[in-house]
Amino acid sequence: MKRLGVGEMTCFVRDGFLKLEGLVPTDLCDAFRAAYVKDCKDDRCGRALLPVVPWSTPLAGAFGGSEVLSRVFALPELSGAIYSLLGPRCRVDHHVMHIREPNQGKSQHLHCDAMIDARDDAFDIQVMIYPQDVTREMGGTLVIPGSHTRKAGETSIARYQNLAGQVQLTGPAGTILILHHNLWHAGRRNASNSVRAMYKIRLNPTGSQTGHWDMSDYDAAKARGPKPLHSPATDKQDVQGQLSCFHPWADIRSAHLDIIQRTRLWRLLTGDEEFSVHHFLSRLENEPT
Amino acid sequence: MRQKLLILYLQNSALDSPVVGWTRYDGDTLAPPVSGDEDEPPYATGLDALRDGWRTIQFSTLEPRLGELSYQPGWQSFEVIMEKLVETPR
Repeated sequence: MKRLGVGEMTCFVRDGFLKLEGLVPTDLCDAFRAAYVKDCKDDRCGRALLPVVPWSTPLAGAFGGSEVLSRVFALPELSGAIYSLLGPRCRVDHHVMHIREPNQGKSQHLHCDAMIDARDDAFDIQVMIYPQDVTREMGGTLVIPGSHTRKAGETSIARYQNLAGQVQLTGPAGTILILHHNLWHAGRRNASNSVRAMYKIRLNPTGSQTGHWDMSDYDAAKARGPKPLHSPATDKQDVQGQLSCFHPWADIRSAHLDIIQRTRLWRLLTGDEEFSVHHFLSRLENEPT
Repeated sequence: MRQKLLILYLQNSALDSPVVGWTRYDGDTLAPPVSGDEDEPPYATGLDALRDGWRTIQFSTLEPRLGELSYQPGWQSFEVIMEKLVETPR
């Protein structure tokens, strides 16, 4: 497998998602559509084609009856990303197909999947796979970068139609998104003449999520080193620079708290309890006796 | 009379601070509202919308939030709901 490096990990902690563009090869996308999309034009039809997988089934071996899904989850970049974020022996939560018919007038409301999730010391991921090209007109998934630090229950946030810096997924067939479970997202309207399909699977960790990524080029001392306040990131190794950004949709009241939450997530993934973006979290932990 | 609503989310509690999010509901059309299709806000600041004739009918309250003291960020803090009324013959 090909595990994530420091650049990808800082992107995930900063934005709450990773995009693996065109990762699934063309022949496998073709096989995926033939097996799980066929002539479907709605979710119910697509879901009926998927194998039933009981929740908490280990991902390894979950798709023994599906050569297509087994091949997808054996892709070294995908299996490495899942391992990097969840650690070994992750389990399937559930999987579904989302199929949007052409020429739709309506979009989904912005939401987080499932009920509000208060966990700070663990997180699930959702893997979204697009087995056909997705153009802007086809209305790929809308995601709000950095919103994974804002805990929300389902469509409580539906009133937010547009947020500055929002990302509308586009990409060639085989593109994959990997989302933190709290990331705000929505299926945009499909204004094209083509069906849009997306396969989604939620995965749960079964143990510690610390230190499973490729830390060989990670310099913890450098990551902790002093840096001018809010100075832009100089490179992918500049962890504080990457994690101190203010996302353009964030109000100033919450933007600093986002940085505190990103710091906590970085500590979870590295095990480095001394890491702090600037002095923001370490200052709050200073309680002299 | 039909009501058009413009909901702005601002960077801070001042009406002249930058717009960071926006939502529209239009009582004068049957077209459904759409999420995520617009790249640029309709106004740079809330004050710009006011100057263009939008009437402010509600601000977010200014008060501490539950959760803030455990450093949990909330959602959008500074929401302004604005309206325009249009004459529409039936």
